[in-house]
Amino acid sequence: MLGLRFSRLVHAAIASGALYLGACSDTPGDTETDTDTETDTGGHDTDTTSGPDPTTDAPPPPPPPPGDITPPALTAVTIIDPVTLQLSFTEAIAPVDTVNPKRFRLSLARGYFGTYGGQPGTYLREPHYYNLVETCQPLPPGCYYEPIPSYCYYYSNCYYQPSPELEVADLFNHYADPTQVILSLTFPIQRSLCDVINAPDDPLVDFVLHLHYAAGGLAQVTDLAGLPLAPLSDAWIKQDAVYYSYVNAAPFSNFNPFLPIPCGLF
Amino acid sequence: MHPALHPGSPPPTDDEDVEIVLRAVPELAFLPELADCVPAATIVGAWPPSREAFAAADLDHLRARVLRGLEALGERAERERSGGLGFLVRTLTYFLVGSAALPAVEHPLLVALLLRAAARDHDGADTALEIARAMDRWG
Repeated sequence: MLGLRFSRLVHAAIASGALYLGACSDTPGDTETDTDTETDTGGHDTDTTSGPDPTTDAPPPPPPPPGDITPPALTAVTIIDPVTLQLSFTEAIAPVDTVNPKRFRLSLARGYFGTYGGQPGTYLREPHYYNLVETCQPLPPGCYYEPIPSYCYYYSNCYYQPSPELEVADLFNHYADPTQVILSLTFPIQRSLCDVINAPDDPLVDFVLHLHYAAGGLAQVTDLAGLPLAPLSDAWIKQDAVYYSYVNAAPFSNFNPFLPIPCGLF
Repeated sequence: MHPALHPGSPPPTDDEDVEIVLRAVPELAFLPELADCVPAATIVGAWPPSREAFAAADLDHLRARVLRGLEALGERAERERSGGLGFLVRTLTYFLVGSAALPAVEHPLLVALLLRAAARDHDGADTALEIARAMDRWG
């Protein structure tokens, strides 16, 4: 009842113009545009998310730069929360609605810098093996300390096991910044995975969480001029294996660009 | 976390979106900007408490603290470009102070915070899910 009463008040306030839907209150016209759309019952069904109405003087979206010959490049991948990654690009990205999330895949990449303890190289692993989830089983019935001799040996009924696979579930353009793309994950990143990434530096070994991307074909990530994003260590996606190695090469040299994903969640 | 509270979430564009965003209030009450807004006084009685348990309480000081918390959340919405959070903050502020201010026991965020205070003495009650259930039974 509380929610219903409040909902009615909110809709009434929106209809009266006292509240507005859009994000920007300081841009002239924004409030009126959104409010008009909500209160217009005359069959003029304007979709505010699909671009400006050609019959109005609303400014069109910025056109792609003339003569753009530079493809977009990924500059950073950051963890926003345990199930959300944010991708930053060098320029605005075209709508990614049709881009298959399977084009992206995460790896936990181990770089080995030594020469005697193994071959220098980069060893990719499924990150979910390190993304441990605590699982607790209920205590078995009939375990009592009293009366004797009805007892059980004490044991911990909780243990850690790898999470379900850590895959990209969906992606969408940042609503306000066209140079950003948001990726949602199928399972939250756990402390254990971050602990691996943030482990004290070993002079010979380093772990990074990294994003891979497969380009080509239709519905790939492009800029506004249609120029595609280059693949990023895509063998990890095409092979679809749980292990993959680049040996006898400088650690992480397979990543171009090399963009380790820092984890500051915990 | 409720999708409306995520960084980069779009603002609502229609009535249905508004309904979805308004349902984020219980989770909003757990954001750190509002941590100081959970009343210290304990509420004695069964869980969940009804609105009558708070009828005699003087809640003006709570209203002032919540306003500061909402201002901080507004800054977060701006910083994280969260349209959903921005809309929710504007809406709750509109009904918190000024001519449209609602009684405390009718304002969803104030109710959520009062319920958090009452949940302190009930194991497992101080979660967004339990607060949401209690709000549905608020009357």
